[in-house]
Amino acid sequence: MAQVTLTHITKLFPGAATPAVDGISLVIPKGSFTTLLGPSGCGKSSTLRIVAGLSKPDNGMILIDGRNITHLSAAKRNIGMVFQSLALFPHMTVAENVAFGLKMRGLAEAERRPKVSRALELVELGHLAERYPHQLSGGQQQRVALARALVVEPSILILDEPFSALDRKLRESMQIELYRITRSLGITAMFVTHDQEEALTLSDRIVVMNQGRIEQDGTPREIYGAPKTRFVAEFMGLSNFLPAQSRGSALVFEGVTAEKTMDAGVPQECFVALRPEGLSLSVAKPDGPALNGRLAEAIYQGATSSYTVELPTGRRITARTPDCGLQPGQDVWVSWSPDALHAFAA
Amino acid sequence: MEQGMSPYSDFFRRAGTGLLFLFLLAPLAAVIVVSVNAGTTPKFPPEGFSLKWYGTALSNPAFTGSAFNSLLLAALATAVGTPLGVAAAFGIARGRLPSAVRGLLEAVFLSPLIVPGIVIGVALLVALSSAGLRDAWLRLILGHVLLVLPYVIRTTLASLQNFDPALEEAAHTLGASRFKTLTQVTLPVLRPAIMAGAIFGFIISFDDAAVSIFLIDSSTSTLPLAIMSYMQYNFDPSVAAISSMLIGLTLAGALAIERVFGLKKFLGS
Repeated sequence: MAQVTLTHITKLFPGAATPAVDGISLVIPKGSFTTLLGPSGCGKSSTLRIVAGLSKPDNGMILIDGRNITHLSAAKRNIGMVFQSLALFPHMTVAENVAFGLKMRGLAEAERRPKVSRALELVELGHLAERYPHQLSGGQQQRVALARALVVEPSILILDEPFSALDRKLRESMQIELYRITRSLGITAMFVTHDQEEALTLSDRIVVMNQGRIEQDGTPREIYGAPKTRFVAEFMGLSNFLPAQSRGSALVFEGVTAEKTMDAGVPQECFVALRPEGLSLSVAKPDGPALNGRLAEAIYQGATSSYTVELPTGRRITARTPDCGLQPGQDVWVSWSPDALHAFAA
Repeated sequence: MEQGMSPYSDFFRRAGTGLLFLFLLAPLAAVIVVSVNAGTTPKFPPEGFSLKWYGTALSNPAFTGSAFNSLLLAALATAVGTPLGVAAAFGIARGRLPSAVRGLLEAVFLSPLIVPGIVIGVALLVALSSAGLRDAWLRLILGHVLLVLPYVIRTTLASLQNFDPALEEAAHTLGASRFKTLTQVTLPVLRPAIMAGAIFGFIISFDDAAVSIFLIDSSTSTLPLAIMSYMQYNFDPSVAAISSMLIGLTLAGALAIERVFGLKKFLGS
């Protein structure tokens, strides 16, 4: 297990106007599970491929435990990688696939065998060792890919959207399994996904990327609970953005003043966002700050209902709360729990 | 009425397919029937059953010698042409080429499929003679490598275009050098395609008359040419017997391709 350090990594693909990776610096602590999260084209996969040695950075350095590996080939970096397409060798059995990395390291058959069977036990596939990849289900192939990457005892495990081809149910069970395996081995892992729920489930730390840069870097709790930019907020499912002014420790928006302790970075002209799950609706004016409006839409969705309220300015906000029997056309008050209110620079 | 249409159209479709098969296969069947004719001329219907013409054919040194030549030639041409074809396919698929150059290269390498054999034969005769190459074997091997190449290139290229680049990347990250990646991952994954191309090339080389006729000399001939020259002076069912054996060999080759690669995939690509 090792610490990975990226300093000022830049990558410009030939013909592209802007760099795919634009000066990324990042430290991935020993034994942590770090996720690069962002929309497609944000540079997360390019960054991962640079760490893996499959792509050369134009600039910057990569260190593993302080050793500069920037110019080392992928074959010599001692990494384990799980690919989006899994890339299982179709002409080899499960056991041969898993043994491949050990064979390339010059281990004899007798040394390989116990390691391969231990790796297959870890992913609960011991009984399928002699099958070929095309004889396995999607989830089983997934586990073979993981075993193949782990068996070489890599200094870092790299996973490039490995679950994107799976259906939702299988995906969730694979996430739990990956969580169990990585934590039980205490392995340093770097994961790439565009799915914020997956990132929240798996990670000790999330790095949100946009246009080749890091937007925010923090624990899942920090990223979800205190997004620093509007991009991160939107990506983590926040909505209900309203223009606002910040005045000391208060925010003024839609004619309402709300107390809020804010980061120093929030300018006077800013935006607020109200998390739909943190809002509540009432007919009577509640204590404390609240927005008054007309209920435009009420959609029943089972556990919660989605209510859209039109404010006097014509802007609309959406609340997601348990069904409260309100009807469209009614005059309602929208109030919020303090942690549902966020403020950003525009 | 509407319900009645479907069985009718189904009947016509089946009948059409049946007639087409008949058209394609009946001549072959006729050759086989004639080959077991007890009479002395290739006649239909046959005058009784006999395998004697197989004996006559196999004891004719003009046939056996040229059959040996054809097998050896096809084997050598395939042995030389297959690695060259694989290398050419890698160059076309993986080389950092502008797409126009790539298309041009592909067209040039596959051109022996389109250019008539006679033209290739004449061109080779002129070119090789002016280069001073007069050895029949050397000329035949060079000519037949040209016949084998496009088949190997075509199957390998098709397979390379579907090749998941992550397979090689996975091998790299697991510690494989470029050479090990090629020999342990890339080539084994491409093997069915390469084999199919090589088998097809072998059959084409074995079967060729148009190119070979310009390259042989008085002491070296191939089986198709031996059959042709035999028929100029003799007209007996031993030609049918030798043809039947060729049909059997071709069928075996086609079955081999079907086994390793899937004939449909090969012909359809």
